[in-house]
Amino acid sequence: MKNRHKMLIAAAAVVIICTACGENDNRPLTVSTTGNAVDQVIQDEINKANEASADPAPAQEPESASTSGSTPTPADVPTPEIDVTGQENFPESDVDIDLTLMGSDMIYATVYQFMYDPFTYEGKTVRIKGNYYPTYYEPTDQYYQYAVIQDATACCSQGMEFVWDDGSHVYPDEYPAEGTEVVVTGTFETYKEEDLLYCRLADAQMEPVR
Amino acid sequence: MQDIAGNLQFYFSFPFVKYALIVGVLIALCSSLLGVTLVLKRYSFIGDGLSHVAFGALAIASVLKLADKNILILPITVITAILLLKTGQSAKIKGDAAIAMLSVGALAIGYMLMNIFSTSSNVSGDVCSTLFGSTSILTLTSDQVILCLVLAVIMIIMFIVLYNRIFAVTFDENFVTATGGSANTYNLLIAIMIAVIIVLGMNLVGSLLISALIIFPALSAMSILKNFRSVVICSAVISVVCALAGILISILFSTPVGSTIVICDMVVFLICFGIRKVAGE
Amino acid sequence: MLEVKDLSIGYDGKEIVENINFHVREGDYLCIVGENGAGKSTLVKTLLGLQKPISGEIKKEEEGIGYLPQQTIIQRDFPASVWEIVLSGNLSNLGKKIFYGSKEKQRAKENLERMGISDLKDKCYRNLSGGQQQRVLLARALCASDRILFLDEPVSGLDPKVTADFYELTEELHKSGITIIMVSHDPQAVLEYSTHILHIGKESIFFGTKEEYLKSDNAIQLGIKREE
Repeated sequence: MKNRHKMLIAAAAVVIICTACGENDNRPLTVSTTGNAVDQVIQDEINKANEASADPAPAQEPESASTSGSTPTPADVPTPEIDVTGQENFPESDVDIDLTLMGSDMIYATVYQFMYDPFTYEGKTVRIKGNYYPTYYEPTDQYYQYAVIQDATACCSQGMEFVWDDGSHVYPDEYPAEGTEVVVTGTFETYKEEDLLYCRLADAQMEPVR
Repeated sequence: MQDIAGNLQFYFSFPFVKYALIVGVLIALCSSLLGVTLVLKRYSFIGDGLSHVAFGALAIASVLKLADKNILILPITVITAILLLKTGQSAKIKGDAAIAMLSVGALAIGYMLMNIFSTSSNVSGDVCSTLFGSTSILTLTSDQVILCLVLAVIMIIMFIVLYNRIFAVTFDENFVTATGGSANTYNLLIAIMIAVIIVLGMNLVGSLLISALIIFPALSAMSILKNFRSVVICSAVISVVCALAGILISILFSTPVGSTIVICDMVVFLICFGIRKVAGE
Repeated sequence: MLEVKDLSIGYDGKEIVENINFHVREGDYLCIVGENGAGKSTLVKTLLGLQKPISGEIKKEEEGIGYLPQQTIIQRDFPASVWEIVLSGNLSNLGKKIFYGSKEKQRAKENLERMGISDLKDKCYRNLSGGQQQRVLLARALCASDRILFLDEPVSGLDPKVTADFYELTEELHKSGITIIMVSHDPQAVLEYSTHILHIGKESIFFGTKEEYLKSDNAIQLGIKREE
């Protein structure tokens, strides 16, 4: 059981990013690509996981439709109020899980829970505070946006992928500078890409912290 | 103060925080029970060696991608406990040196394996958590919670059932043998219990700090109390209170859970030690 | 009660003493004497079942022997009350039971009284004097067996007054019908109280009654008899 979820976490390698102790510099975060053998195992595990959990989350639309790069949507509307899914914005009280109110132990544990048991948190509104980092992943030819939460114990930091609004903002023009501290509020969702399971905050508001 | 209460209320809305407290309290309870025996029988070094072996076993289990790591960790630790007990009794082998080699060896191999083969992208986080228990009690999976609960309850029942035997063997195992009892069997059971408790305790404070969790409450209680039963009860109470305080303090002030619990234990020990000095014994 | 035939003892497969033959009958007071290093303590361990004999046989009439050990370092700072320790002597009578019942408690109480230490019942063992500790351990031994007692150098480290008291106490027990086996360094006590003597010498082994022993040459080594 535990291992299966470990595999999920492994699959979500792009989501949890770890820096070794003391390496808190601003170097760009690299995405780890998995080898073939490992890929196979991960895939098996995920298939198993999906069978077991009866897959409450139907496969998400591939992200490529909405992110920059392959489909340049020149929606030059920088206002964060835009919300194509028709959902309402998230006033403070509507945030289900607000990590900005937590101590770092709790943040770590909560993000761990997201990774371990993502389906439980599906659809919940989550707010996190972290440093903004974009990452380019070659196989999908896409940029992914992360908020990286620094850990107080200096052991590891966690990154949470998010999609700003509907993902139509142009990278890098509209995005803040790398490393800017931002507060991201979005809906937790899982999605599959290259048969791997990931999670992210979709449809998110992003505000730089001043 | 109100702030802290509010924060706690907020944190308690997360089920994993409740699990952490329940599991933490039970682990603390059963790890303190054998503390007196460990200290008095000079088994402390076995506890230390075992915790490192358990870490090594965990690394191997990770590499083998076992579905449930405890399937490997528990038997390896238990077998090592039995072997250590046997070598400790044999006059031929230098017990201390053997254990020292075994434990640092297991530590080195474990870290190496985790680094090379780990399937997790979070190696230093894993290592941090398994060695020092920085947050592991907060990241228990539901299976682990159940396993910990079951094992902890079994350990507590075993201790109660074996209480009189454990006392007799701790006080004077030769007497037990000479009067027709089977001291070796009881020693074996104690060793197995120590091994299980160490595997459990790793979840709470990590493998490097587990000895402290076992020994400090016992030493505290021993320094102020005068009979075995009250020492056992008192060390259980100290251990539980320190574990509760440690977990709450660490989630409120974002300190590493394992170290916080152990520091609570140390503070209580210093207080007890001070009381003993003042009482002038 | 105890029959030892052609016993060889040693450790790690190395033989130290061979051809030990002796027996203990009910009501005997056997003293085991001998020089240091002759294998006395190995014999003690073998007799008590703490280590295996190399060859030969030890026939015990009953499994349990009331054992008064030399004190170990562990016990010096052991947090236990007198009551807990005396009660623990009943372990061998416990069988499959988990806790001590009223029968065991009664027995412990009687033996506390017998040793005259009922008032120490709730005291902490490590705070007692050497003589008091010895009485506690004796009460515990009596809980294990009221037929045969094995005393392993019981007076080492005790002052002369306490030593004398202890021998008195042992003699009373002996008179009440308890068989006693004592390992001792103390020629005075051996001479005064024993009925039989087992001498483990580097060259020879002697077993016989006190009278036979005094006639033999072994007594010289112990300093009981002067060389003529």
